[in-house]
Amino acid sequence: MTTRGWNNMHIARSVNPMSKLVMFALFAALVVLVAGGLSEFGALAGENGVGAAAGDGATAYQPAPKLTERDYPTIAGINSRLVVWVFAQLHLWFAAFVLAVPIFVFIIEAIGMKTRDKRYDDMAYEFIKVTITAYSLTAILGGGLLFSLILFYPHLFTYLSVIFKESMFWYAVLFFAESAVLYLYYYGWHWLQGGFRKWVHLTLGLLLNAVGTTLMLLANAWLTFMMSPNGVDAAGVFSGDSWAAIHNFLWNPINIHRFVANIAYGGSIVGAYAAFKFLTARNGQERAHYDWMGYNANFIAICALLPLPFAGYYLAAEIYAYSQQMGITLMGGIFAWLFIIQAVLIGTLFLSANYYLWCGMGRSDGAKRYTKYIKYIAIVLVGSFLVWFTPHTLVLTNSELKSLGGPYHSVLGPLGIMPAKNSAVNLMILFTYLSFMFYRRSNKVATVSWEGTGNAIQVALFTAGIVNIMFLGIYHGYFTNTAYKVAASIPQVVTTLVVIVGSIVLDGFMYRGSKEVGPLHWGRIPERAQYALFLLAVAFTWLMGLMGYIRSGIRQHWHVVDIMRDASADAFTPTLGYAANVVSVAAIIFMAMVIFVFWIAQVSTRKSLPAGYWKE
Amino acid sequence: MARMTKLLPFLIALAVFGLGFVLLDTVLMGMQGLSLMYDK
Repeated sequence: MTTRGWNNMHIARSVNPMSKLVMFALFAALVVLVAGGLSEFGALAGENGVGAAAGDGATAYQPAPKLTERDYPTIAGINSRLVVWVFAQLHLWFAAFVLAVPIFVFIIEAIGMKTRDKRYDDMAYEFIKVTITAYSLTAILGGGLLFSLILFYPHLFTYLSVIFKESMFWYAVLFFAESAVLYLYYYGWHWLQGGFRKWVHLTLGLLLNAVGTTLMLLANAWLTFMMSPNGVDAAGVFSGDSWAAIHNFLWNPINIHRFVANIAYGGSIVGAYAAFKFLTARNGQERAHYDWMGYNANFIAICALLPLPFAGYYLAAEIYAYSQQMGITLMGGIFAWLFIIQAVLIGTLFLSANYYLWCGMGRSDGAKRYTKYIKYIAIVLVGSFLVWFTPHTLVLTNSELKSLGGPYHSVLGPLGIMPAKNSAVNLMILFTYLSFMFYRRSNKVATVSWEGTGNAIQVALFTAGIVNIMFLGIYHGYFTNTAYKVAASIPQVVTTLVVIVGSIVLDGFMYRGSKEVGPLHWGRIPERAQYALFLLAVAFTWLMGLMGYIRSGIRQHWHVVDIMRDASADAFTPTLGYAANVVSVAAIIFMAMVIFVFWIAQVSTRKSLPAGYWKE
Repeated sequence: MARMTKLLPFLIALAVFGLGFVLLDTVLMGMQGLSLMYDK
């Protein structure tokens, strides 16, 4: 281990105890609140007819309270919704990051164990080091969210915590377990090295992920219950058990979507960290290291980004299936224009991820064989991007409406419906994969005799796949029954997967025993590529904030849909401009905190030796 | 002729994948069609 490495550990130890104390204090408060049987809220619950009354060992639940504006405390003129919104959003961003990073740290550590390449182990350690400070901030922000909910929405908090008392208790217990395992995993990294000890360490990593994922699943149940309550009657009387409340209709769709999205998000944030370190590197060796780290982070982000549109589509379809009203509000009502912003941001994600790959091809001397194809990939990506964010109905002035003959453009209008979007996103995914395939091939020379035939098969596979995606989108999207518009998205997805998997397998055979063009020049990448990594992180953050607002906003004037009405002064849907401003300001606060996390990681590498300060 | 020979692997693969995707579409759309009829 280098001196710098030891310094990192030493200073990291001295930085964290304060935040650990704050974190434990906050969650000790949660445990006291929840494990204490919510006795503090007993009076409040009884007053509103919400609480659970024990009788003959059976638990009887009361209806959801019918609130008035006076039931919502006002404190120092603070806007309650804004406080809860910003705390919840900041907590979610950090939570997504700290839950995702251990997943790929575990995988990278396992790769290091398998290949016995210490670079992987060092990289995994550096990733988890960034997470430690972020973990403290996650807990502090979670505490802030908890207290603001208790202070500003006491009746809602009481209603939910009575139904979820068991899961909240286990959440608190698991949080302690998560903290314990994380600190063992991080601080024991250099202690648990080699042979059996390394296996123990890897097992800790697995345990950390199991606990972290369970925490996320529990918290997801609380928010999905508010969207699709289960085990309750029309008055909100809960008659099920804990599992009934947890296993509500939208729980699994959110679980899948968040799990995949978190990995992509975590990848993008550590990518930004690597970019930051690359730009501030003092020598070629550091630049090479952080270039390699940035590449791996981007690879993780892309791997999770590719299936993400499908997970999102599944979630949206399930929201429609649960409540057509919520579904129409989601994409056909007031929130539809935020989906246009979403489309722009997703397009930005794809373009920046591809741009980074294209720049990264410069690391290999053999890349020039493929650079001529990049412009075609760029054309398809930009074209698909334009289709992806074309709105169905335009916002126009009266004179524009008159000259156009309505809000629906005769040529561009048809591109506004989902079959066109689905076709576009499938093409974007396929061509992003193609960029990646060229990147992988750029430093290799195939040695098999059938290379030409293999390439012909690859081209045929892509051609057939693209034609099929376009056929499904155009024919079923515009010339058949409406029901088939949605149905056609499934074979489109399967086609994309078949092409990607088929191509990976074929390339695997083609490049078996291949020769390398030369050593990869890590660090030989333009600085502008690093800004693509920053863009990826910022676009992800903003996207999650805006889409999270939509997910929560489709409840409209309900705390718990159709069960518990929001009677506060803020029980209205704000304008999109206001919502976008709130999310943007929150994103800026989050980015400032992330820069702080990066800076702390940077500070831990510095050392001052003041001459004559300490007595000899 | 030489050009055709060069194109032959591509054309054969295109035909195979094309047929494969037609089969895939038929099965997946057919299953959903049956599901729609069954729901009614």
